[in-house]
Amino acid sequence: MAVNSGDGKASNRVAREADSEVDRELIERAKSGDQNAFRKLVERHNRRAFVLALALVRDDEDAREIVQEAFIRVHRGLPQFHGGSSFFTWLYRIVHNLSIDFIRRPARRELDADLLREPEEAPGDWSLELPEGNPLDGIQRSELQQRIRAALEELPPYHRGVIVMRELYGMSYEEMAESMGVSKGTIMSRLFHARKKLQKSLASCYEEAFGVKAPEEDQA
Amino acid sequence: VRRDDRWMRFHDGELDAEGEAAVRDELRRDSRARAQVEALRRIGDLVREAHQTAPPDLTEQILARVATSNPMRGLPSRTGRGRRVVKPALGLGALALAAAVALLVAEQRREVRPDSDDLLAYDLTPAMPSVSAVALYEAVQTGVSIQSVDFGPTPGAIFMVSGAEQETMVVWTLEDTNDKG
Repeated sequence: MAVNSGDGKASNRVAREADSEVDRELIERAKSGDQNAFRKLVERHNRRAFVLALALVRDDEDAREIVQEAFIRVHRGLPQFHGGSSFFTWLYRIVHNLSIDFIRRPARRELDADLLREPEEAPGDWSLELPEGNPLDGIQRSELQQRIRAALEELPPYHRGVIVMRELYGMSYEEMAESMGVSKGTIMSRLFHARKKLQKSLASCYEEAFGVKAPEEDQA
Repeated sequence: VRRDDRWMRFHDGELDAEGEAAVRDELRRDSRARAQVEALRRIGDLVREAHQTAPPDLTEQILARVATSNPMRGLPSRTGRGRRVVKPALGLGALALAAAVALLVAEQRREVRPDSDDLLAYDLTPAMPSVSAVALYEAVQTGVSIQSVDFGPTPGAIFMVSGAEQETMVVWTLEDTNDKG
């Protein structure tokens, strides 16, 4: 199965393990000089790397540049890659780091500095704050799509990053932590808050979006 | 572990078998738990739907960048090793081709014996730029001088036939070298 065409389901760990096996074989061949194997690696992973970069930097051209630079680094680093982590985890970490470096550049700093500053969440702040208000009837699906896109745009890069890795690629907390160079707890926190924000942004059409009435606030 | 945390980990497939069984049991009993897990699932669906546009395939750009940015370093190139063998072979092939072309040209020169004195000066030297018959005709009409004509493997010649008012160009080629016209 091509990684780029994965179904993006949340629990696709088994499929990913099979993909990792294919990657390992390609890496070994690439390390021994098989250029075609390296091409296969690029073909399998470039689109996903692009989506992740785009989620972080929000500019198509910048994302292309970042992905190209990431694969240059992969190519240079392949001889030293010993398979301690999976290939895509390694690649996504490079893409993630390049994207963050890019956002921190002076020209971008004014725009995104605030977005990179992760607010300190109170430990154990895990109560899922549910959207309030009356769901609007008759909201079209396209409207929902627009809302979710707008909501994703509003998220800070580190929240968009975990959402993409989790919802599109089905990466585990461990893999995301490795890719982003943070702890598993941080990943869980980011994921929780990212989802909460998305949920809030859809508050006015909650029932349309989720197919159920908004649950009452959990006081437990 | 808080309930929301547990539900999220359940949704993400991050619980062990025991934890998963406990949440399943909770889902059967608790409508709020069901609603929350359902909400997580729907958010995921919406995010995936929002990313349905196929991202661009950057394979060629990436490989081009890798090739230009890292020409001498990095992975040993299998094709590079092959090139060392291929280069002498290509050189010999080019030499053989040049010899064959030279023989062909000599043969054409022997075969083509145009009778007209109006024959345009031409040279079938292969290294010179070739000109198609149509292009040649147009060039003559516009007064451009012709440096060479290449008919390829077919022998041929160009004649300018003088008429009462104007000259007519005749392009003469042999389809079959056995047919001497």
